[in-house]
Amino acid sequence: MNRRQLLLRGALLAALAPVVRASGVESVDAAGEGSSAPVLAVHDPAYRRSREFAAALQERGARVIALEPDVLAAWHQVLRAACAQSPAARITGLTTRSDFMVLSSLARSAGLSPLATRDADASGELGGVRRRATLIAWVLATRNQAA
Amino acid sequence: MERVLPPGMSAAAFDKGLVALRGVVGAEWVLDSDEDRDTYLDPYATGNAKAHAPSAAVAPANLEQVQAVMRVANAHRLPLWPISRGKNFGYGGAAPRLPGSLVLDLGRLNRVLEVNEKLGYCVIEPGVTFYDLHEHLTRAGIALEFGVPNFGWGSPVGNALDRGFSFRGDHSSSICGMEVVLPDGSVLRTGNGAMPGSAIWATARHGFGPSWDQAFVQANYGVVTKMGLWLHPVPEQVISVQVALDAQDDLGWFVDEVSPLLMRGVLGGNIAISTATNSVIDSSQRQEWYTGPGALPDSVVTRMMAERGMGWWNGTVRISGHEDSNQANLNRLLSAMGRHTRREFQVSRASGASQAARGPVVTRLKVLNWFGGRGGHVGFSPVMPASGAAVLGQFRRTKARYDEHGIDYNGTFYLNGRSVTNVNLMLINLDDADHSARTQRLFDVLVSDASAQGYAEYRTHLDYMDAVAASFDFNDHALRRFNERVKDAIDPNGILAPGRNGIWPSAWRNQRGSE
Ligand SMILES: Cc1cc2nc3c(=O)[nH]c(=O)nc-3n(C[C@H](O)[C@H](O)[C@H](O)COP(=O)(O)OP(=O)(O)OC[C@H]3O[C@@H](n4cnc5c(N)ncnc54)[C@H](O)[C@@H]3O)c2cc1C
Repeated sequence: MNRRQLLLRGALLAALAPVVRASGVESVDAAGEGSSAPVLAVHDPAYRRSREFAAALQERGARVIALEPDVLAAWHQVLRAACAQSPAARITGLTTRSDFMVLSSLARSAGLSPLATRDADASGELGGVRRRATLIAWVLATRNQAA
Repeated sequence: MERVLPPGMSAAAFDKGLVALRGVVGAEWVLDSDEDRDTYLDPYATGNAKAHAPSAAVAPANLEQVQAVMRVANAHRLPLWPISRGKNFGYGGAAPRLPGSLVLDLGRLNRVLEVNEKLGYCVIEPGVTFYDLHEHLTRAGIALEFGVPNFGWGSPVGNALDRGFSFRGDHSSSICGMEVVLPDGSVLRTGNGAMPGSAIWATARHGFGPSWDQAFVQANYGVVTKMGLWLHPVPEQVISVQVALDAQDDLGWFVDEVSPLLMRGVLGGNIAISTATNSVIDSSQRQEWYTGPGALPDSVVTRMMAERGMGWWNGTVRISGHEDSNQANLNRLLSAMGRHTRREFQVSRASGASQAARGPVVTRLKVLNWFGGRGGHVGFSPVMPASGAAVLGQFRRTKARYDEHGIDYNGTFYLNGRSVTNVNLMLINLDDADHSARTQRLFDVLVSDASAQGYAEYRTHLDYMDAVAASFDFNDHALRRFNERVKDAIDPNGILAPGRNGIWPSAWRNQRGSE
């Protein structure tokens, strides 16, 4: 990672500080093994800011999951099992509002509720098509963590 | 959202009903917290948020509990609104027509009961999602597939019961046999299912005597607890032809050339052809293209076409089947289009298995990001004859109305063979009250324009059910009167989905036309 990328990530995390705090990523032990509850950082590969956000959390010990081919598949193929395995897991992401809408509804069945959200603009490219959206940063956690 | 009770019901009477429901399904499956209620609201509600607010939800686990819930509802006069997965976005989501109704959430009835690969059908419960069915077929290595809407979050049963469709055509026409709980709590099996141990319930449609399956579609006569659905054998090959037509008027000849190919079976399912904007709205934001007043001007659409290499009209024609017949059918399609355009269309070939392996997706929901903030949408979807002149007339009239109301035009025409279904998407900026109000005015005007042509919607949002039903007014609303006579006979207390598709039981008939 070059210095510019490092600065960008730092600025992104600072802008989304409340969400990052709520994700509990600071308390994740990068060495893993049985320490605190895992943090799953999801990202939309179409947006650089979304990828950067997840990468920054990965450096702090979060597990990164791409919403590929979309949020529905990511839930059914990865996230649902991860939540069942670690009921205290938190899921965080910087995604489109619509993906957050779907994921927060699906995650409700695993007992997760939104803990914090914040808006952020982003643009990017996927499959040769330019994309732009107002992204939203969010954390989903079990209801007792949310309370 | 604060609690909204059924019109005229006291809180004490309602709470007594909830106590009885808890006795049936267990306290945790009567969902009546503010947060619970919010999850059943119309996610795109504009205007009065209470117009379709549920009072609570009840989630039975099996057939017997559904029956018992119906009996409690009768005893306490509680109106129920059944949903399978409640993802009817654009048409009201999980929300009921009558405010204060209890949502009857069938999501816990989620078993795939049978799949027969040889005879190409499944029998499933309402809570089975498109994804569940896809996973079931994939895991078991069953070479069958089914139609999935552009937004694949819902359920095959809920979607078919609202006459949803995909490029495979109308899903309600795949229904073969149902188990239904009637409003009095009794159970009925339709078609051949009426014969105990029937070996042909999900393979032969009609049984003996009247055929009732379709009477439970877009209706409020029963709660469907099982459904037989015909599935499609995975084809050997799928050819995809990317059609791009440069001029607005090209739509006319396209309809006239392609519809006969559908009628003759050269092409199958339905063929969708959409404006260029349709491919842009789920991957970019409006402000990148246009920040001026009014609707997107045609010059901006032309820029979209140039930047993304599209036509004014765009679509994918799929030809599925055996390789040799596919090639012959492709030749017929290309020669029909070649009579009108010199454009070369991109043709790709894939195995049917690779196409079937793709699961349902919800990427289309990204259209909600068009305005940047909170987005919603409604669809106005009239059906017209498959004639180029009729379709072009509809397109021009509708686009002029969109322009007049300052709403961005976005239309898709689904060619079904003899008819064409025109889905007009209206993206709503929920952060802009004026934009929402203009969308509503536009919708109203489109309903009356279409009925003046003799075209009605194939399906509509809760807000417009009464208006659309009222346009079917031959012989002083003979059809509506008949529907309501049936309703009163089988649901005298009017507990099941009052107002669905404009059918009001006598107990609630004074609510017709209510907001
Ligand atoms: C971006 C976008 C694109 C879309 N594209 C399509 C598309 O291509 N094709 C399409 O068809 N739809 C489309 N939709 C609309 C909708 O999302 C789907 O039709 C969806 O499948 C409906 O939700 P559901 O399956 O959960 O049904 P539900 O919401 O569960 O059911 C629909 C209605 O049927 C009745 N009902 C449901 N279950 C029962 C039951 N068991 N007994 C009695 N009555 C019942 C109820 O009145 C209910 O309101 C789209 C929506 C969006 C947001």
